[in-house]
Parts: sequence; C-alpha cells; structure tokens
Amino acid sequence: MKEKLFLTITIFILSSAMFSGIYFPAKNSYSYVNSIETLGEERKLIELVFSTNRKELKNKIETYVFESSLRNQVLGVVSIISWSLQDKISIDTQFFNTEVFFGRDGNLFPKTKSCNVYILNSEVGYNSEYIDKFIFMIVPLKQEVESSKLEIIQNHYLCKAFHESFVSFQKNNPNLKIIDLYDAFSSDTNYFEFGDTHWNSFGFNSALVELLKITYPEENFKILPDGEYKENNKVFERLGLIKLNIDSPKYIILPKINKKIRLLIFHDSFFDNSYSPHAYLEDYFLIDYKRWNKNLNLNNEEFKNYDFIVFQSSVDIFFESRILYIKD
Amino acid sequence: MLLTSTSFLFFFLPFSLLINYLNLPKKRKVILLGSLSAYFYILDNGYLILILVFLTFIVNIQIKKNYFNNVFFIILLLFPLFIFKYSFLFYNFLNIEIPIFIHANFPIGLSFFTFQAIAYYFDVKRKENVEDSFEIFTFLTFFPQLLAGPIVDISTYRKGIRSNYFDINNFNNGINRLSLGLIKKFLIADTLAQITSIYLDSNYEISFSFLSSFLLIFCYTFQIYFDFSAYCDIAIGIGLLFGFRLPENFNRPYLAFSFQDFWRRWHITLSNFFKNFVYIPLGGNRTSKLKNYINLWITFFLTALWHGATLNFILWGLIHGLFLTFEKILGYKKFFSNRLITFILVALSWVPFFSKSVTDTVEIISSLVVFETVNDNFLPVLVQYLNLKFFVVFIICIISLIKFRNPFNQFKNNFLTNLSLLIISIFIVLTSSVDPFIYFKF
Repeated sequence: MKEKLFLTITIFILSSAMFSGIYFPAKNSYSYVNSIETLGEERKLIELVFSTNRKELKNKIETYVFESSLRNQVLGVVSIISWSLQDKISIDTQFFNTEVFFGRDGNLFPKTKSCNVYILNSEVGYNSEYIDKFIFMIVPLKQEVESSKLEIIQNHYLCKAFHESFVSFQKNNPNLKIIDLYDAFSSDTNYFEFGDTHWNSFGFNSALVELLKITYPEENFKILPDGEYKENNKVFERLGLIKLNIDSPKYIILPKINKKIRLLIFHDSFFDNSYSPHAYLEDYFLIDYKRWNKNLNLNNEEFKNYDFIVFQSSVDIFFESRILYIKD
Repeated sequence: MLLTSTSFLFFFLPFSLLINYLNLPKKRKVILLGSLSAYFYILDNGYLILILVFLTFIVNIQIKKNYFNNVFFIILLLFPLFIFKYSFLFYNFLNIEIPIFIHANFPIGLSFFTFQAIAYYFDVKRKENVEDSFEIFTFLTFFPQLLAGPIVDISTYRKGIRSNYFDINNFNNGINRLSLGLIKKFLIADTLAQITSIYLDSNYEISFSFLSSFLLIFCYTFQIYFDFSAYCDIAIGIGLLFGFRLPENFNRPYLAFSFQDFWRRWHITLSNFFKNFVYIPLGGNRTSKLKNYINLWITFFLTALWHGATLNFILWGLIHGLFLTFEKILGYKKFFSNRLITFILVALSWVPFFSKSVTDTVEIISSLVVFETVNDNFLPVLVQYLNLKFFVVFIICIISLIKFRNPFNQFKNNFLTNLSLLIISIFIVLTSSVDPFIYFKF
C-alpha cells in the first residue's frame, strides 16, 4: 500500500507541469526562452500519441508545459527573489540565462555575441545609383554610452571593438552620410531606458536631431523638455519578468516642419513605435518603415520615390551581419 | 527524446511508471519495456530505429546459427557506425558530396548501443541463459541508457527484468539520483555551458589571455564532468525506478591521483569495454614492456577514434596514452601520485577534446602564459556571464575537488526528502532552457 502511494505521488508530481498546462493555462505566459510553435495543431494529446508526425506530440507537450500556470508561478517567484537581491549585491543576480545582463543598481544591458573588430576595406553601396540618398544611423550599445552604470569588472573589460569598427567604417566610407551617435551620445546623461536596451526619449530625440541636421540643413533644431513619460522597460519585463514603473523626462524637438520630405527607414526595434513614436515622427517626415532583411536591393526602383533612405541598426548586429546585406 | 526534455520528464516518464502498478511477469515486461523504448527512440530518430532492429537481427542470427566468423560479425555490427560516423572521411578523401541521409541524420547513441551489442555477444555470462530476439531488442533499446550509456552487461539486464515486484528502496534511490542528476545538469553544467558556448558557437577568430583561457578550460573541465555524470545519474535513477541497477559510470574522477586512477573513475563502462575488448586481447600488460606500451597507445587511439575521427580527438587520446606511458615507465606512484597535478594535466588534456582545431588548441594553451588582456577578445564577452549564479557554481566546482563524505547520503532513503528534491529539480527544469548533453553526439 505504502509503495503504491509513493508511486502515485511521484507520478502526480512529474505530470503536474503538463496537467497544469492543460487544465490551468496561464493567461500571459512568460517567454524568455524560445516558445514552441504548434503549426496550427488542433488534435488532442491522446490522438497525437499515435500520430505519424512525431514532432507534433513533443511540441504539444512542450507547449502545455510552457503555458502552464505552474511554470509561470515558479518563474515569477524566482525572478522576484533574484531581483530583490540585485540592490544588495554588486553583482548580476539574474538566475535565468537570457540575452541581457545587469550592471550597477540593476541597469540592464544587452549581451553581445562577439567582440571582434570588423575592418571593411571595400566601400559600402557604391554600386547603387541612390548612394547620395543613403544615411547610416548606427546606434551604439548601451554599455558603450553609459559605461558608468556597469560594475567595475564589466567596465574594465568593456568591449571597444564595435566603436573601433564604426570608426573604421566612417574612415573607409568618407562619401557616405554616417550619423555619429557615439559623438551625439557623449554627454553625461541618460540616453537609454533603465530596464531596456533601447533609447529613452532623450536618446531618441538626440538621434533624431542628427538626422534632421542632414535632412533639413537650413534649420536650427533644439531639444526641449516636454513633461514626463512612463519608460517602456520592455526588455526587463520580458526577461526580468518584473514590471518596472519609472517616470522619465520627455523631450520634444523644435521647430516642427511644415514642408516634409519623404524618408524610407530600414530599421530594427529602435524605430518600433514604443521607442520612436511614429505619430511624433510625422511632425518632421513622411516615413515608410521597413525591417532589415537579407534580400535588400540597393538599386530598388522604389528608392526614387524618397528623398532619403535611412539604414538604422544597432552597432553589434550591423557589423556582425547586416553590413553583408549592403556590402559591395 | 532527451532525458531532460519536458516531453520526456512530464509525459513519457510518468506514463511509463504506470508499469510499476502492474506487477507484470517477465515476458510481458520485456514486451512492454521494448515497445516503450522503441517508441522513445522513434520520437526523435524515426526510421533510424531500423539500425537497432538490424543489430538485433545480426546478433540473434549469430547466436542461433553462428553464420559468420567473429571478425566479419564485428564488421557487420560496426557497419552502421562506420556509415554514419566515419564514412565522411572517405567522401572527403574522394571529394564526393556526403549523401543527405547521412549528413542530415545521426542516430543518437549509435556508438553506445553498437558497443553494447558487441559486449553482449562476447559476454561469457550470456550463455547462462538464452534471450529471444525481442528480448535482445529490449536489452539494446532500454530507454534510460539508450542514448549515452552506461554500457550495460546482460546480467544487469536479467536481474532487472526478473524483478517483477516494486522495490521501495530502489524507487527511493531512483528518485534521489534522478533529482540530483537534473540539478547537476540544469544548475551546474548548463551554467558553465554559457561560457564554453561563447567559444564553441563563435564563427570568428578568438584571441585569449591567461584569464579567459583559464576560465574556458575550467568551465569545460567541469561542464563535461557534471553534464555527463548528470546524464548517468538520470539514467541510473530512471533505471532504478523500473527495478534496474545500471552500473556506475563515474567515481569522482577529478580526485584521481594518476592517469591510471583517472581512467578507473571516468566513463567506467567505456573504459572497461576497451580494456576487455582491445587492451586484454592485445596482450594487456602480460607482455614485454614495449608491447605493453604499444597496446596502451592502440587502446587510446581507438578510444579517441570512438569519440570522433578528427585530429583533435586523436591528439586527446595520444596525450592520455603518453601520460599513462610515462606513469608506467617512471612508476606513477613516484612520478605523479598527486591529485592536483593529475587534475591540472587532465584539465589541459580537455583542450584538444573541445577546441575546434589544432591551431585553437595551441592558441588556448599558449595563452595561459599571456597575462596582458589588451588583445583578448574573448574576455569582454565572457564578463557578461559572470553573475551570482556563475560564482555559486564556480565555488561548487572547487568544493567538488575536495574529498569529503556526502552529507546528504544519510537522507538517501527518506521518501519525503527525495520528494522535496524532486520538486526542487522540477522547478529548476521549468526555469531553464535545455542544452543537449555533450555525450549525445558520440
């Protein structure tokens, strides 16, 4: 009897994560690890046991476990404990293996996959007839701009390679319009959100001013305070699993533009609506947005419809991969 | 299906455990375990299950009819292994493209179950009883040890399959080993893997300094131990849940005081296989000294080849052969007989094992004397992973080098303690993403 009881308890505990997903799915499941795609699989678990498509059964079970309220609860508790330790110890207390690390006081920074200097000898995009319209906006990493928010060891061994690659890129392409955000983000202030790897309102407006200087050279733009806004801190919420509530100064650029030029922006998440409000940008430009993709054609006929084509990218991904899409 | 995958732990395992309610007679237990194991293998490897059917067929026909001489029989058994693991050498030599079915498929655990089939046929205890073909199939495919060992002998299997009662002590120990294995894998090995994968996943030239090289070697040395021994703990634990006492594969190898001692403690079942089927048949140490050294080198050359037909693995095997020869020539008790020196040399010998080329091996080892970090482009990436969890794991690794009696052993038979351990390990699994075991690729 005792033996059967032990066996039953063990089986119950082992299967609880799956049954929790079937009968008590979480409303908003955390997704800091890759989520599983079931490709529209509607069959029940028991039907899949005898399915000839063996991957679907595994996916189904993993989806149940990932979406279970039990997993959500455990992740929530672990994240609260590790975050509560963060301001007590001068070290990253993160428990999960994510794409970010924590610096001083829990400031969040993106992990880089490499620290390699990319020296590019051949010029970029010279085979394009639209080369004069191209503007490159390479965004530095948060740790390169706000290194004082890193812990001592993190700061001491900070990767300098991306900045060096940027300098080399500028030097080897003297005829390209390249916005130097390393220079624009050089004063001792916050350019990035606390719990995010993206720019804050000041960082965004500082970058925008640099763009405006090229597109409307006759104007004299100024950044002015304009109240407060709630920081997105989306990366922290997704990977740290805690919602931060931080008010940050909001900024505006004056003057606004009446006769707007047309822009096409190839961008990453920095120009998502949350970080670069599209409605606000309409005060200065008529913009079409496109995500970076491997099939980028620098002689695209569409380009003639725009005054400028902006290539915005985070510096690490630009030199690790995106440069190859536009390299001769 | 990985033994640490959610689909295995939370679905396949609990449903398989239902067998324990049934008190099945031997014949039905064989059929049920064989079918479950085949299903387990098919879920990840599909039609490659035919390799196991092929091995079963060959072994069965040889036992019953004795059709082939021993050499031809072994060649037949090794044929799938050659096709999937070594044929690329020939394709590369002849400059022919590797066929897609070989290139895209590798039957997980192929090296392990091939060796188990060989060991089974030549096991002197085999003749004490006669297994029918399905029973041989069940023996070869038994799911806890199918993917990465330990290599099991037939008497272990026979004892397990005959036990048609539910043994509470076995079950308790099984939960204990399973939970500890999961904690070792997810908490320790996978944390160390974050550092090693920076190097292993890189596609650019990395330069090191003492600090980065030291941390990389340290992390890999402990990762491979905790990763593989965790897998064995899980396999042994699951085996116990079904009444099978699978052999131990590790006995705190980094406490070895010589290379000879190390190989008595590391991957014990594989070491025994090579000792019994290569070293001893060659004459072992009952020959002249020179012949004995040659036997040793041949054995380690084949051990290296078993891991993979690359220069790096061969270099790793030769280093071990070299140190063992030194020990024999100079008398290891005088020459080494020191845990720390042995550990450092073993750790250094892992460099050719994990590095991506011989050039990288030289770069990593030579960087141990470069104290300037200016040109080190590995350290800035590595620093991002030095968090509290890593430092805790680092300390655990250091403590594991100290010889002490495990304080938790006294709770091993307490069901409530083991249940708590199981719950903790499940929580750790739920908060982790799965990195495949290192030894699956062999």
